[in-house]
Formats: sequence, C-alpha cells, structure tokens
Amino acid sequence: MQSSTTLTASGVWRGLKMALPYAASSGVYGLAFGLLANQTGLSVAESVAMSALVFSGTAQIAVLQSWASNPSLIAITLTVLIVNLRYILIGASLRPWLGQLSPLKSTAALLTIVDGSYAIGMREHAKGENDAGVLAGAGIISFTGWVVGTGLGFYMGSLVPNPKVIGLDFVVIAFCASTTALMLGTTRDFLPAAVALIAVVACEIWAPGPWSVVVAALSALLTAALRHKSPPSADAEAANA
Amino acid sequence: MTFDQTILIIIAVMTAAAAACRLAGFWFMRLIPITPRVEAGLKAIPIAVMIGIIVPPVIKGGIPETVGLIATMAVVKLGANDLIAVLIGMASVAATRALL
Repeated sequence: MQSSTTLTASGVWRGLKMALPYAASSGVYGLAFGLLANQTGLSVAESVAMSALVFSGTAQIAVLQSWASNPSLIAITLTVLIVNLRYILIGASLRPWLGQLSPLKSTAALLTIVDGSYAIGMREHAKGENDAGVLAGAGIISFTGWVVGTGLGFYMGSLVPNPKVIGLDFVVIAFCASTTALMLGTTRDFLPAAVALIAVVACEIWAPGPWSVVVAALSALLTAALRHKSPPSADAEAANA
Repeated sequence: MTFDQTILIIIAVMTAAAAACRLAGFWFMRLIPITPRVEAGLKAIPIAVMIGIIVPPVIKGGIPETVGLIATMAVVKLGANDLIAVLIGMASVAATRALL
C-alpha cells in the first residue's frame, strides 16, 4: 500500500524547479499570444486577464483567430470545450492519486493542470511520489510563464523569438517522451499503449484535430478496462465497499 | 485598465468552459465506484495521453522531431536526469533543423 497523498510547499517547490524549461516555453508562447491579442484589439488588461483566468493557450489563440468573424458565445464555448476535452480524461486519471486530498486542495491542484505539468506529475508519481505539490508546482510555474509572457508580448510583440529555432516548441514533447520512457520501463502491459498509438496515428491520417489526445486516452482506457481480468467477486466487493 | 463589457463576458464564458474541463473528469469519477476494472482503465490513461501529445507533432514535423524523440527517450533510458534528457531533446531538434 502506498503512503497517503499530501500537498506540501516543498512538493510545490520541487515541481517548480522540474518544470523550468516548460515554463520558458510557456513564456515564449505567452509572448506570441500577447502580440496576437494586441493585434486583435484587446487591451493589455483584457489580454492578461484572459491568460490568467482561461489558462489554455490553444483555446485562446483559436478564439482570437476567429475574432474578425464575430463568433457567437456558443461558438466560442464549443471551441474552448473541444480543445480542452482531454482535461476531462486527465482529471479522471488523477482520481486515484488526488482523491485522498481535501476537495479544496484537489480542486486547486486540478486548476493548475497543463499538458507539461501532467507529464511531470505522472512521471514523478510513477516513481513513487505522492506529494501532489509536484504536480501543482509544475503547473504554477508554467502558468506564471504564460501570464508574464502575455503581458510582455503585448508590448514587445515584435521581439518574439521564433520558438522553433531553439527547439522550444519541442519542450512539451520532450517532457512527455521522458514520462513515456519511464512508464514503459515500469510496466509489462503494453497493449493499451499500443492500441492508443494505432488509434492516434489513424486519427492523424483521417481526422486530424485537437481530439487526438482524447482518442488515444479513450482507446487505452477501454482496452485496459475491457480486458481486465479479476475474480468476479473482487469487482463486486469493491463496488459494494 | 480598460475592459470592454463584451470581452469580459467572453473571458468569463471561456474561463468557465476551461475550468469545467479541468474539474469534470475528477468530480465525475466520485460518482463511479473505483473497481479494479475501472482502476485498470484509469491507469492506462497517462501513457496514452503522452502518446496523444507526442505523435501528431512528430508526424507533422518529420525528421527533426523524430530525432529529438529518440534522443530524449534514449537519454532517459541511459539513466540520466530527466531535465538533462529534455534539454538534450530540445538541442537535438534545434541542431537537426539547422542542418536540414
């Protein structure tokens, strides 16, 4: 049995340090968003408020890019929901870990989640980390980079570096790759991951879009759950517990 | 500090939608008993999310992203610090792009 879940300041500090390259990349994307927001006609206060409250780069950029066509509130809501659907599955997967925290702490930790902080958090959890502060700290530092970047980019948009030149666009992929390498080393069960890989490649070929993560996660979830073999009584007992 | 009322409403709606996505899955799972079968399904999600994030940019990007992916995973497998693995991955992507 693992020791119980905590959320401590020292965990947050460790998460902050681990996620520094990711925060740098969030900062550069924040610069680009700040520039776009300025060009779209938002004020600096509106731009920074949007980044601080919504905290979803892909969704914010998609909404501002459709700004000229006067999108309806429903269209805007759908855009944000579709781009962020993956967080529903990410949140579900965090239930076993964060479920032991108080509702206030788990909610706070969940609101900091971004792709890179999830990668870091799950990697550390796979190594035996039970302090959810690591997950929150990684989220907080990337949030900081994103919000500060937005404010700076609003005024210094023309100075935005091209993230591709120094590989900053690769940071989130690199964090996910390091997590994948670690997880593949700690499991003997490769079928759900293999099904997810096939599903996401097929999705990229026939229906590319922001739902590739959802397609991957759902196919792995169903594969693992359907194939799960346990004595029938174990499932029933747990359900009654 | 200038705020346009329409933009404030848009920001509020976007905030609610993004927060709902971050919280919905976790709170929904409160209603579902975590049987061994459900737990097996949930435990398969993280690596699948990683695969879902990695694969599309690697397919689109081609050689530099593939080189970076192999480099990052190889460095992790060699037992190096994760931060070093990430930095080597970035550097190999940037270097491959500069060479191509």
